[in-house]
Amino acid sequence: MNLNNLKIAWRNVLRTKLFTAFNILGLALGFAGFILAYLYINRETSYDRWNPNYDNIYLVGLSYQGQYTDLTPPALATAIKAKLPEVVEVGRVSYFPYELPFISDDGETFVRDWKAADLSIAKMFGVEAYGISVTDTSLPELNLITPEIAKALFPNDAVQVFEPRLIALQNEQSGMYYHIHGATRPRRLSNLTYDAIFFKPDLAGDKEGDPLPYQTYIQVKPGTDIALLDKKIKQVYKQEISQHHHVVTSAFAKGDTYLDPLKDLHLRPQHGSNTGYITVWALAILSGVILLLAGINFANLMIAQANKRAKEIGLKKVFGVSRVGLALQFMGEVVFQCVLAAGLSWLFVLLCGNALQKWLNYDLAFSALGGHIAWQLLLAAAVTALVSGIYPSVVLSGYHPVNILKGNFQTSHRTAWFRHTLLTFQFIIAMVFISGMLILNRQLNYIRDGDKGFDPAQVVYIKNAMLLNNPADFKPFRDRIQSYPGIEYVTAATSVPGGIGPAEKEFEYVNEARKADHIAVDFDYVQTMGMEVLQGRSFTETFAADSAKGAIINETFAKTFGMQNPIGQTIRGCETDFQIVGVVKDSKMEGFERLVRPTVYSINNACGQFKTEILVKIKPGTARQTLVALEKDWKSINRLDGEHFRYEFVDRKYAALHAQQEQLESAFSAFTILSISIAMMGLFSMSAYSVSIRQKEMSIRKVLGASVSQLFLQLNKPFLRIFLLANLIALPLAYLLIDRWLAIFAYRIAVQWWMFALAGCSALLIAFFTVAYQSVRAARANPVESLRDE
Amino acid sequence: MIQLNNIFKWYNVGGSRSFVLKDINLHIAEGEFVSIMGPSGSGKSTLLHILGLLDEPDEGEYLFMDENVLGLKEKQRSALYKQHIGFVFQAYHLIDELTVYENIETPLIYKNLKSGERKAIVGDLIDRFGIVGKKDLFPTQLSGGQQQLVGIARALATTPKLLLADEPTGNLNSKQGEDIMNLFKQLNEEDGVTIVQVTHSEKNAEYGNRIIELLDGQVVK
Repeated sequence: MNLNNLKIAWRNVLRTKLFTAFNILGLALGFAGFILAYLYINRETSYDRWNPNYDNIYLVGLSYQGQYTDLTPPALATAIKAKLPEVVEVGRVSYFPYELPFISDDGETFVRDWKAADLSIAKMFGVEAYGISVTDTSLPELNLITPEIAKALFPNDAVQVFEPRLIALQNEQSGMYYHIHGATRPRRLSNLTYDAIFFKPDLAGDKEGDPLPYQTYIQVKPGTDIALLDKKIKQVYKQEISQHHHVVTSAFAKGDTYLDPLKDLHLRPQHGSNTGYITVWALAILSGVILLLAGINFANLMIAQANKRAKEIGLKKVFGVSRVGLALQFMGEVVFQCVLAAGLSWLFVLLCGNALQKWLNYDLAFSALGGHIAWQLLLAAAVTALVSGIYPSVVLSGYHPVNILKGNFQTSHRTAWFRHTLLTFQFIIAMVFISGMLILNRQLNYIRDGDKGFDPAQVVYIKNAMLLNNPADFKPFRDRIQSYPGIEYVTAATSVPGGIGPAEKEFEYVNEARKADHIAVDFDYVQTMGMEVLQGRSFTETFAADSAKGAIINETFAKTFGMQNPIGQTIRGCETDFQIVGVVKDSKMEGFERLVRPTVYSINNACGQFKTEILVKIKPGTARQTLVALEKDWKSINRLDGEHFRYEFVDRKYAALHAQQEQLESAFSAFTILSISIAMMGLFSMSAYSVSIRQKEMSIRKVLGASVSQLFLQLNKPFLRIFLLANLIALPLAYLLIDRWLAIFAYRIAVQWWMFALAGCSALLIAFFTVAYQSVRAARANPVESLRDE
Repeated sequence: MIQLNNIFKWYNVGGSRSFVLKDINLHIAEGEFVSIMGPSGSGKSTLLHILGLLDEPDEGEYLFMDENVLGLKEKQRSALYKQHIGFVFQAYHLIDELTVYENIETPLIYKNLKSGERKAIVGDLIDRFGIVGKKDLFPTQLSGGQQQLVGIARALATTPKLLLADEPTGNLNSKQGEDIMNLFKQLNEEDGVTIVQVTHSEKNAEYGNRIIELLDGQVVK
């Protein structure tokens, strides 16, 4: 009997080739989406999870008026360690924000990610080195590099364990010499990344004077009351740290500490964007929804085809097969098709892996199609089979044999509501996807092409480690660089768009003190960045006072302080009195997610940041030859740090700020296409099915004089109703979701009704083309064919 | 009213032609009541379908109301039978999802009549056929005879000049069949509707005033 069941199932598949193919293909697409989503999710959630202290490590950060930073004064760590016994380990990490050449006798390489840390960090984050114990606190320092860097530095002697080797940083004349003690063992994904990490038993002591802030991590005893600990640390900060000399000028002196658990640091750190977290959730939900869509198609077609199998069911019942037996048989068929689809999807992903990797801009190979994902896929297949198989198998096995065998058995009306509900659901999902994609796309276009307040095009940022704080020091640079024909403007600044943000300081105007960003710049900054001067003027060398106390503010600054006529007013910040010489339009240098803050630009770098970033504006069309020429002469231009000419285009650097959103966009587009194709398959099969059962009715109507277009309409009226209903539900839902997503952005497009109308129309168009073929064929068919009774 | 000249209809079966109709020449005048008889497979239904413009012959000429209708476009043809022809089927072919009233109304909708006019016509027919009490029932709730009555009412809704019936009593018992036949006769005599029916039964054929016998696609009598 089992063999017979197989035969029946197989022949049934052959008889309904098209439907079955659609069924399995749709399901396979759903599974493929699932695999991709979970490859990503598995990777993103695996950060530090391998660490045995995963649940006990926290980052101590500072917050003030809704602003968060991961950087803390160094003395905080010492104070916590001394006062709070429930904290087992405290460690500080500081990172060098620039790319830096490491030079040995044999080779040299650029290190992008150079960190310094307390030795306790190595223990907390599971950093290990070949042949060296990282817990040995007797060493004054332990400088480690990754094996890749080691290989580049010491190409002739590539071993993992070696005697300390001397290297130079920056260049041989820089005076920065370090010993490298060993190479780190490869670790799995972690928040603590490095190309080179230099440990000291005590990185910064509790020096008050050290102006560089540090990340502070603590590891607590298991079971510690975190809320209580948080309170205690806040107290320690208020009483001991915030009054220190260097901390007081920082905006965060009045703020509070907070604890951020390690498990949140990668995806949703308090001090950064939670886009990663949203993306993970969105992908999990999206892939689930897609799978559900595919499952619905499946259930739908199963039920729809019940007519064709009614006789089989009736006869089997007459032969005494139990209802459970029949239900199991149908369930088995569903499981078989699901597993087939899952296998097919695995094949898809394997075959298209490279293309997808390129498109989604993500390293899928890293998380390889391994055992973990296979289990998840199998589980998903099982759940899908259960969800999509249970209704058909219960319904089909419940038929009464007598009714079936009497002939003329029709089930289509009884299950119509169910099929229509499922189809409505599919439409809703597809509509939400389509309108979501449209608006997502518009927002990102707005980011790409919208008014940023400055113009990053043709601006090149040249990396430099030499201090150019004094305009007199920079003048020879500018004169030399400006002599190239392709250069329009040259300037220097403490920060570049998309790079490290400006310093946040307190500024006073009249009697009011408020936070504002400070960027120290050089002459021509406003011109180089293509900013618009609204009032006053930009810095010029003709006014000697500009170098010492001239300041340019942005619109927001003027508005925040309620300045009526800002030009000539005096503001005080960083212990300096600045005189305002100009007001510029707000520029969104930190991307569209953050509101532009009040900003002061001055030539005097009174706030202590280093003016090292060189920015040049190049005439359009001459970028290549200008850069080549600059590179050739760079050593003679930049005498102190001219070994390497390294640059980035500011527009690309700026675009990287929204890389996660762009990633979301491409992932979302992919899922939209998936969901539309699955919904289309569903609709196509449904329309084919409804045509097949309504063929007779259509023929009668035709004989009664209906035209082809009237028949077409008649045939698709139910789908139109479903479509309208789905729209009614989908559009508000889409609006809600989109609104929430847009809320991430400080600067966003207005959602307008026509966007949804556009989504609706395009969905209608797609639906129309999907049903058109089948219905037109049915409407044009010769009625005689189906009205013959003999 | 109907003039068929040298009508041929065939199917290609494995390279050779299998004829369904062979050289049919037929004239039916307005007001006639013609019965077509013959054994199964003799081509009765095909002939009826050709008469009703539902099917086309492979060869020959068909003049309907002095107009050559072969080679007409789909639209014109549909306009022709919307206007002049009504069909009655052996299996009634009512639309299951529509009530009796709505079934009768359907052809009027396709004739683009206003709802008021439609109401009047359908009301008349329902009265005349004595199915007032059944107008809100669905076809499946009626007996075969009642269903066929509805089928005929529907065919007459557009006041056709020609009524084509394909074994209208084939699925009915003898009493019901007799009723339907009497109705046909009455329609033919009192309303002047031209009727062509296909039937197996000698007795029903007698209701007409002419009998055409078909055998293997040819008129034998």
